This record gives sequence, C-alpha cells and structure tokens, in this order.
Amino acid sequence: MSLDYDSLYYMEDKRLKFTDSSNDQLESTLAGVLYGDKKNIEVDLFAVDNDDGRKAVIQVRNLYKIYKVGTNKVRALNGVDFNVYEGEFCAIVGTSGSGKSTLLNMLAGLEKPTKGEIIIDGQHIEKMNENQLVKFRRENVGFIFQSFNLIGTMNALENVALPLTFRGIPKVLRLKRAMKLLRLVGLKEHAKHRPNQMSGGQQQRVGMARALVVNPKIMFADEPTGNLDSRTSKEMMNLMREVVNKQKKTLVMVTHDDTLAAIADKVIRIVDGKIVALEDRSTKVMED
Amino acid sequence: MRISDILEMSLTNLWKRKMRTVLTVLGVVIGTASIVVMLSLGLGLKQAMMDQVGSAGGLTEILVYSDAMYGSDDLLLDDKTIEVFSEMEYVENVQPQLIYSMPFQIGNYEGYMDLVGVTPEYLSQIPLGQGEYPDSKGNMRIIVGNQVVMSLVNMTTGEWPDFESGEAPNVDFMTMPMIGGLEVEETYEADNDVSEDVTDNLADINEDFAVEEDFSLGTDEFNSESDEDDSDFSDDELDREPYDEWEDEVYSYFSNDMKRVPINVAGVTEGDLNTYAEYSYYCYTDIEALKSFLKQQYSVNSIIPGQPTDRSGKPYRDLKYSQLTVKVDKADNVETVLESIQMLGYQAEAQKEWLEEIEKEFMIIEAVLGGIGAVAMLVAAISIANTMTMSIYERTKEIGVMKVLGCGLGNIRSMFLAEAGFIGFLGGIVGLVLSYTISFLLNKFLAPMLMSDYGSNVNISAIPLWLVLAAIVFSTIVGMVAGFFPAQRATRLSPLAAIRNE
Repeated sequence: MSLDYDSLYYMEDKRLKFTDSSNDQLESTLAGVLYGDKKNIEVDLFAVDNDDGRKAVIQVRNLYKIYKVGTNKVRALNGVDFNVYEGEFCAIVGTSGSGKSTLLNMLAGLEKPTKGEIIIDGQHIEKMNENQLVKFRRENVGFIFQSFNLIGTMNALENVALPLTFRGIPKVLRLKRAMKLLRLVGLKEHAKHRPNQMSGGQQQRVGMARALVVNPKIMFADEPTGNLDSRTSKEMMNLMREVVNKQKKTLVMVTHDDTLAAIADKVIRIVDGKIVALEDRSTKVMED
Repeated sequence: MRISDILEMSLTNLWKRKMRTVLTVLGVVIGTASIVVMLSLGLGLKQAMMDQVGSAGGLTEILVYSDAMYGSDDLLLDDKTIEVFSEMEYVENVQPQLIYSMPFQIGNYEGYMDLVGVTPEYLSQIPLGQGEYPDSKGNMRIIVGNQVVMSLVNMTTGEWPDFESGEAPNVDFMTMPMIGGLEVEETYEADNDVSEDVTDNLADINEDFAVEEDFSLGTDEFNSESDEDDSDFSDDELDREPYDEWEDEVYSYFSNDMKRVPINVAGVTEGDLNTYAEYSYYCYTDIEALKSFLKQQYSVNSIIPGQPTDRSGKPYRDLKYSQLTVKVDKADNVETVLESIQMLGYQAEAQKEWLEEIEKEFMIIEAVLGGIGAVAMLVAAISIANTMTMSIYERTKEIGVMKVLGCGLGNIRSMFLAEAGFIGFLGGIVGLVLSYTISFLLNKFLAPMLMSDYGSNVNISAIPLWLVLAAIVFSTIVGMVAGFFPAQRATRLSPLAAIRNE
C-alpha cells in the first residue's frame, strides 16, 4: 500500500491530514477509516498500520472527560486513544477511580465526552443527541451490567425479550428468539423464573442472553462478574469468551481484576485517566 | 415499541403496586363521581322541567294574549283573529281562552276565582279527581282546582285557615252549593241607544229576579249571613268607630250591589291539597257555556267586567278572548309562526323561547355544579401526579436500564402517560358506577321530597349517555395531563442510573 506523501499536509496527534489526493484510491485501501470532506481528508494512522485486514469497530481519539468538582477540575480521562477490532474481546483494566467506567459509559453513549472523538461502526457518537444515542444502542449495542439489572416483574424469558420489545417486534417472535438465547446460555428450564428466584450466576447469564438477543455488533460489559463469586465468575468469563469466538461479536469489558482480564484478546490498562499499557494478544490467541 | 406492549407494561407496573394504585384510583373515583353527580342534578332538574312543558304540548304552542281590557293598546282577540291564525301555514288549530273573575261563597267561606273558559279539547285533558267534565249544553258547570280551597276565608270570623293554621277549611265543592257574585253592570249610555238600553235594562231586572228566586231555594242561610255582614259593616260606619272595631269587621269580596248567582260544580281536579299542578288554582268551564252565561247575565250594551271597550267606552258586540293558544305542527316551525303573528302586531310568546332562556340558565347552574365537583377532580389529579412522581423515583434504575437497552424516549414517556391514563380511566369507570348508585339513591329518596311540584315519579338526577362517555374521556385525559410532567421527567433521567451500584 502506498500513500502519496507529496500531498501530506500536516501531522497531528498521530493523525495524518492531507488534501487533494486521489480519493478513490484511498477509500479502497483504507476502508472505514477515512473521514473528513473531499478537500480535507483525515486518515487514521492506527487503521493504516494494521495491515492484517481487520476492521476497527471502535475508534477512540484523543478522549477527555473533565469533571468540575467545586473549583477543581478532575480529569477522569486525560487523552485516550485506541482501537477495538471486529471480533475482539477487549478488557479495560484499572483500579477504582482510574476512569475505566467513565470510558465504558462514553463508548456506550451514556456520557458525553468533554473533548475527543468516538467512532463506532463509522458513526461519531459524541455528536449524537440522546434520541439518536438510544436508537444507536437499540440497533448496535448489547449491554451487560454489574448488578444484572433484570426487571423484577418479568421472568427470565421476558427479560431476555425486552430489548426486542423496544424494536417493536411482535411478542411471539421475540419470545421465540429469547428462548433460543436462553438455551444458548443454558437456562432453558429457568425461562419462567423471576430474577429473585435465580442465583447471581443465573441472573447474569440471563443478562448475557438479553445483551445478545438483538444480535448486536458490539457488546459492553461493566464489571460483569463484580457481584459473582470466583467460581461463577470463571464460568461467566468462559461463556463470554465462547460467545465472542462463536458469534463473532466484539466485546468490551471493564474490570478491576487482572486474572479475569487475562482471557481477553486486548487489555487496555488505565491509570488516572491515561492508558499506561496496551497489550494486544490477538496474534497470540490466533496462534493458539 | 408496539402500543400493546406499552399498555401491557403500564398495566404490569400498576398491578405491581396494587395498594397505591387503588388509593390513587379512589381519588379519581371520588372526583369523577362528584362531577357526574353534580351535573346529573342540573340535568335532572332540566329534564323534569322539559318533560313537564313537553307533556303539556308546550313546545309546539304559541300563546297570544291581549291586555286590552286593562286599557292597553293590544289588538283584540276574537273569532276573526282565530280565523286569521288558523289559516296560517303550520298552524294545526287555535284554541281561545276567556277569563272571567268573580268572588264566590261556599258554606261559611268565600273566595275569589279566576274562571277560565276553555275548549272541550283543553277541558278534557285536565285530570279530574272527582265528578265529571262539563259540556257546553244546559247551565254552565265548572271544574274547581284542587287547591282553590286553600284560598277560602271564613266569612264570619275573617279567618284564613290555610294561612293561619295551615289547615284547609272543611268544604266539599261537590255537595255544597256555591254562589258567585256578579258585578252590577255598567251600561254604556249613548243618546241614540237609549231606547235599546232601557229595554235591555228591563230585561236584566227581570233576569235578576229570576235568578235570585232560583238560588234562594237552597241558599237562604248564606244570603242572610252575608246580609248580616253587610249590615254590620254599615252600622260600624254609622257609629264612626273606624279603628277600635276594625278587627271585628269582616272584609268581604262581595259588595252590596252584587248579583248573586248559583254556580254549579261539575268536578274537582285531581290531587290533594299538597299536589300542585298548573290547574290547581283555577276554575274551568266550557268556553261556550261561559259565553252564554255571560250573555245571559249581562245585557247587550252593558260592560262585562274584564271585557275591553272601544275608544268611546262602548262595549263590543261579541266577547273578546283573554288569550289564544296557537298549536303548531312541529316545534321547528314555532319560530316562523311566532314571527308572523308578531308581525300582525299581536303580543305572542312561545314556551320554546322561554325554554331556551331557561336552558341558558341551566347551563350556568350546571357549570357551577360541575365546577364544585371539579375541585375533587383537581385533588385527584394532584394525587395522580404525586403517585407518578413517586413511581418514577422508585424506578429510576429500571428506566435507566431500559434506556441503555435502547428504549426510545418517546416510548418511556408513553409508558408513564399510559399508566397515568389508566389510573384516570379506571377511576372514571368506577366513578360512574358510584355515580349511578348515588343517582339511584337520590331519585329514590330525595326526589319524592323535593320534586313533588313536578309530579310523581320525577327524577332529580339524570345521567345521559353523553355524560357517561364524557366522564370516561375526561377522567382519562385528566390522568394523562397529571402524568405528563412526571413522564417528561422520566425521559430526562440519566441512563447512568442503571450503571450505578447502590
């Protein structure tokens, strides 16, 4: 692959910016990472330097989140850049208060960044309003919560089917699909059970099924094992690994536990709002 | 989201908090019932009034009256007028009424009656309690209103039993003889009519004797009694004791020179002393019988009391009517006929016009009553808003989860609006059941006490179908309006609430 360096305009923040190049050629070689208008095209170097054909589903650029606490400014995220590729299991690891949860919230469009860009599947979600964000999540995102967050008045089956309800899918169809996913997570016989009739591990598996039911491109998991004992946590992590492998999902998980993060393809370590280490073990996993 | 899913989730949430839902619904029940019952009272009263007027044919009738006998310039009503009116379009028939007022005696009592001469058709619709309907043949016979007895005053003591003790005098119109007093005729004197007058007067004098002989057979004692009264009166005057003896003096409707004529009673109208109907205070007779009675009593040139005279004070040849009732084929045509009658210069009014006025007044009454009821509804609305706000605070996390899972903001709002709307709807339904119960009880126990004037079996409270539908729609809308701001608040809740761990 070649770039016309004559037209290189300037370079800033690990990004090339250049103008008046042969756009068609660039688009074919750098699919999904070109943005800007025709006169002012930006090319992502991260995308460019990955030449194994993987597509970056999530691109985070120069992300800042600054909270004002009284007169002090707290930098929850202090300039974060990374990519997550399709089919990748990415773990964001950090201690409490490191900014890892804030990062996840912003990836899922639950919080607005102070500065920077988040591009998921080619869409700039930091520019969306709340309605667009809800629609975006409905169509692209599955979410697994730390405290399961199942609806208490609904049984397992109905809980799994809930996101399909928001899509306006008829009851019969969505219950059928929900049943399929309950079977996948091994809870077929608990379909009629209410959340309070199930163990934490079972509830989280229902949560997993609920996240998968809309067939999302990306799944987010916020400390999914935080309320589970170590044995169940292990089972849960294996299930998530299996889902990523078999269903070819992209999964971003936040955790404080290094041992759990070890199962991921990529581990992003955050300390005080900055990435201190980025371990990409995808090649290693592929070799395995 | 599908509407069925939104409704199902709302109902599930209401069901989850049964007690709170029931209490909030109860508020709406009371609010709805208070508005509906209040309005039903206004509607019931109006209905009763309309029914009364409508059953008397009032909606298709036009009343043409003339005050010419009181000296006004009103056009006179006579047979020619009837002919003119009868030929008008839409007019079915024209019924004249002739009113003649006179004092009367019965037993020890005397009173003053308005004797109304009406057509046989009119006469036949007066409900009778005793006796039979009079006809135009033979001597004039009258029907006495059932409450006429209340106006009687004792001739000897001057006591007015109904007024003083609330008891009616013991008088039976059917068996006891009644004597009427006719004012002595004033004769119009004109030079060229002298000879005629003289002969008339002579004839009258003869008649007088004849009549007095007639009734003296059975009524000697009344005669002598009233004579005594009269002589007492003149004695007093002679003694010049105007004030001391005043209380002992008995005022009489009869003057000394009145002609005493026996009146035959054919019947009494239906009802006892406490039953008021439009006929209760009048006496009725056949109009032709009244005409011939008056012609028999008064000579051609004499002025009959209550009858108009022309400019020179001369009486008319024929009797003029007090009022005409013009019956129109349909209520819709009343306006047209009324206008053409008024164009001719007659004083006329339609019950319909009056009813429209009444209707306007009732609208005000209903608005006031409804407004009183609305206070309870306002409280219920506040209670709904409170319940919804509580519910949203409790479900902050759940709402957050739904937002994270991709539930549209509009859907969240719809869910809470539906919930509030359901509370209103349920309250409306149950409130109507309560309203019907209260309405039934009011009609059963209160109506007989308050509404006897409108006849028996009249409802004080009426709930028409439109009120039922309006109540349900209104209570549902009130619920949704009350739930609007809480619902709006729910859409603004942060999805981050789902992430936070308590």
